[in-house]
Amino acid sequence: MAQRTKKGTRKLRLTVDLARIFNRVMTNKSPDVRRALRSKLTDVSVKRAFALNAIELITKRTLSNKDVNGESFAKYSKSYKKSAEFKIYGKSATKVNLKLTGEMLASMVSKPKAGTSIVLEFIDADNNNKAHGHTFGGGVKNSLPIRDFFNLTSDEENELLTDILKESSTEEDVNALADFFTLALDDLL
Amino acid sequence: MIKMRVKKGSILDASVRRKKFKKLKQQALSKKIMKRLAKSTEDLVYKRVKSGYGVKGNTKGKLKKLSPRYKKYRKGKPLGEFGTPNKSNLTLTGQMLQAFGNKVTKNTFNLFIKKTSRKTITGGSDKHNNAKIAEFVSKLRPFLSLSKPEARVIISEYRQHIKDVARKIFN
Repeated sequence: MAQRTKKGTRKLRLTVDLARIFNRVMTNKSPDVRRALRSKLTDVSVKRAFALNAIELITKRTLSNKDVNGESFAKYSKSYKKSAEFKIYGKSATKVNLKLTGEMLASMVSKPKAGTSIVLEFIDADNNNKAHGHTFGGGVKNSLPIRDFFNLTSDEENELLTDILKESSTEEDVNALADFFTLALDDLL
Repeated sequence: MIKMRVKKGSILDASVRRKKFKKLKQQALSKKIMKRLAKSTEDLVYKRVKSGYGVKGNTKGKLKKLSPRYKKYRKGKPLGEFGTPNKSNLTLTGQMLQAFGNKVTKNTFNLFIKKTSRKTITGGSDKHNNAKIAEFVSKLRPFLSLSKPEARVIISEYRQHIKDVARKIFN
């Protein structure tokens, strides 16, 4: 699994070392192929594609009501289900997907890091705190249960890296194209 | 600033994949996707206002509270959806927030409140239209714009659309 900041740390961060995953998934390749592929792990566009696809995976998994272990999230509390916001946002009482406004999931970003690692975090303090609450639980009288969504399993990491490194992969370009078409919208942020 | 690196033979190599790129461009900037994003934005603003929040500059904040006199006036009246006498959420009859409209062009969309006629809370005809009411209430309770985190939600939806389309076209 990726390395996540410990409970008690205010800033929630997920650090993933691509070299560690590489050593796990590329065992059946020849030394030459391994050497060639390994050199790609420090490539900015490979790292960015991995990070953005990881964000996409975490988002889709969470929206499908599953935590990092593939289990359903803890149910919503009775008081939350009775709240006006719950009704206004048309939330389902049984479908727990950590989405009210959608801001928390949309605020996951990747930060550049040297070497073969990538870092995922939340861009602003409000959404970091929300995600922190879900990840470690807590709140007033410990009323907020743990809903562990901000992490990647080893299998998920393996799949993400294999997809990007395979010869026919278009993932680097797909992410570059998404960057290209949303570049002009950066003015809004 | 994001730098783009075009690899020879990659899907960005226009000499090889010009047609596919053109198709992606058409779908990424189509009226259909702009309409979908406009609808999402409308939904986002509607729910935020109904929850009692507005946006000033690009920061989300609670809408200014109602005066005690106005709260008293609202009591016992048939208020619009999610309206309660004490809650400040721009809902008296609910007509203004039901009058959202959007204008979509090839690569942009605009959101506004339509100039539709309205009824007073007692059922008579109102001399002001919904756009005028929106203009008036926006002075003290600005709501028709997006905060940064909200813009991120819409951009992220758009980004996912582009990725889905690009994967379909280039794979």
